[in-house]
Amino acid sequence: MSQNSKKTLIILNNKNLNSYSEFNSFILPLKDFSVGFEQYFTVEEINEYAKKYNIYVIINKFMFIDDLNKIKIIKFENIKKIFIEDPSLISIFKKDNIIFFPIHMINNYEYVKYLESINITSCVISNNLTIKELKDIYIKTNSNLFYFYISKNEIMYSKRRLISNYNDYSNKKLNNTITMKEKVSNEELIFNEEKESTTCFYNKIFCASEYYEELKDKYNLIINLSFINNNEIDFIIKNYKNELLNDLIDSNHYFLDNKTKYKVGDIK
Amino acid sequence: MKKPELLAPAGDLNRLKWALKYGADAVYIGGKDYSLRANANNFSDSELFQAVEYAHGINKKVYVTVNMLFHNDDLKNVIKYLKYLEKIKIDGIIISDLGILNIIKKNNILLKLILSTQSSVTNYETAKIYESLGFKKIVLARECSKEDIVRIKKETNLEIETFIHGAMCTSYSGRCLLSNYITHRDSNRGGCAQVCRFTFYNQDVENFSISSKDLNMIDYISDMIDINIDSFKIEGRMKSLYYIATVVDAYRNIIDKKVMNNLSKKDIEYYKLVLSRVSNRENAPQFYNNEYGKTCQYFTGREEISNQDFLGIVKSYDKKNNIAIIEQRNNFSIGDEIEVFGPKTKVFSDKIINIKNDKDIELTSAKHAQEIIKININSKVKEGDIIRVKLT
Repeated sequence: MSQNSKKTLIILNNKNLNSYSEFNSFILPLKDFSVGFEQYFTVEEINEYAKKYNIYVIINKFMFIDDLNKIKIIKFENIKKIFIEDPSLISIFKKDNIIFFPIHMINNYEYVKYLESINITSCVISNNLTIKELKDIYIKTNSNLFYFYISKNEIMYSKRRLISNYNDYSNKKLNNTITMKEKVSNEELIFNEEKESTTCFYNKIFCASEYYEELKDKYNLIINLSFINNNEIDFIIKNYKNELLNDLIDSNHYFLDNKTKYKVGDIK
Repeated sequence: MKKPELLAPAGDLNRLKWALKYGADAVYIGGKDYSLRANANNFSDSELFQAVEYAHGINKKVYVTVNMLFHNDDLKNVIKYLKYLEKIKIDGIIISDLGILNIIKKNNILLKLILSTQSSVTNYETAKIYESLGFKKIVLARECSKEDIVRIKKETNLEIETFIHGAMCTSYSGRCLLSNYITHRDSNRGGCAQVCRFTFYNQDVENFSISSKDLNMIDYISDMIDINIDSFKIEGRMKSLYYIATVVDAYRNIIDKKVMNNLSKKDIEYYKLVLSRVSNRENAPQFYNNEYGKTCQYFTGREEISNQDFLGIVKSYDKKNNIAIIEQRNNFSIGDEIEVFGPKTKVFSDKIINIKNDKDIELTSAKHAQEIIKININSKVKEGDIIRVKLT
């Protein structure tokens, strides 16, 4: 288990970094190379903010040839580390500088131990795990672990432009960000189309505050404010350490307490 | 010209045998645990052994999927299973969880490592990383274009496998938890409920759909052989025996004709018709040619049309009297036009002129599923050949 002191990092839905005086560590999604956020930052903006704040960058788009050509010439200055989804970026940014973030993929301690064996010692653990699984991963590994503690969880990432395709088909003009309910369950989802992709989010805020005390010394906690409305944001920021926060906002943390089933026999 | 491997799915031992008989060079299968089709029949340990014995006996290969994303508890017995797969000499293991790679390496388990499409490899730099970790073969993301594939081939020594036919995810594989959140079933451990095929609504839209049509690469097989893709994969471990035999047979013929330099447009059109009839979903090439717009999606839902083309399986043939004994699968009658095809039977047409049951009583129709009946067929057929509705 890693004894490093843990941080709380914020992903904003605007560019007002100074409006959150309690925090000085931010994750900035890199424009054109990230998906599923409300606010993106250019390299110049990132380098400028890095003079004043602890700046982490996130690059979570799957890379194609053109992306690689462009990203290889980017130069960051003074940033802390880069969250990466696509392993191609390991060779571009070097292992010491990255936090491996293959979304939903890291669900067990052996995965983390393998990363350690190849000298990748920072990674994001899936937040669809139970609290017991999260604690076990911490105990059995030595990495610097990150965890999306409060966020509207991204639950689908497509290369398709799903809203444009629908608009083309139906002659409608739906916006690039829409809220929809699934017809049987009535669960509400946000679809967000960008230049080359569509992401989908569960509309209820995932909030692990009930386990704040258990998580705060084990995981670097990420608060992702994307797609959360501003009234809720203020409340969340003031109360994120409050174990009761998940009861005070419209939130969900089903997976922290429930193992997910996957076999028909188990489901019955 | 290098002949690519034709790789078929098999949900059980029977379908494995049919896939190989109908021309697959290799099959991919899952054990009772750890694969992404938790609700398929799948293979017990002894069936896995039988599968390998059978395939190796006819010089073909078996790959085993261990490609779910493991949670801590799932790791408990996996070492034993991996050692068993090594012992029975499978031809490769398909994984996506690097935790499993860790266990394989720590325990010095000697298995050919194949990276699952769940890892969504879309570029040559990522492919090089996985090559450096010991993977020998990569199943590329379905989102790769021809240009992406060519570059990956050029920059690595990896064997490259791509999907050529079957269902498509709307999402990048592995990056979808729709099923988890809507149905509480873990898509990355084989419980996918295909929520991307459900419909959605809001105050402005009654039926919003994100569902993808299926993949069909028949128009591009020739091109894909030219760029040296090593393995062509058919999706569908839960598909029927008829589906597997028909799709494998179609691509076997297309590949062989291309390699023999006698593939014609007429062949492609014919097999396109065959493939369109075997599935009740529409299909398109999609990302290979960078055309994944509205024509590749369903928008209004779709009617499930039950496919009743599959009429029967030949059990034996009396060549003296031109009588085939068949096991019925769908209703047919005297006067119906049929086609017969098989692993060693070139497709031909015929017409039903008489039907008798196993007591030699004359019938006008064969109405009962799996009834053993006799029909006249003028050309020689063999055990295991398939009789279907004549395609027009």
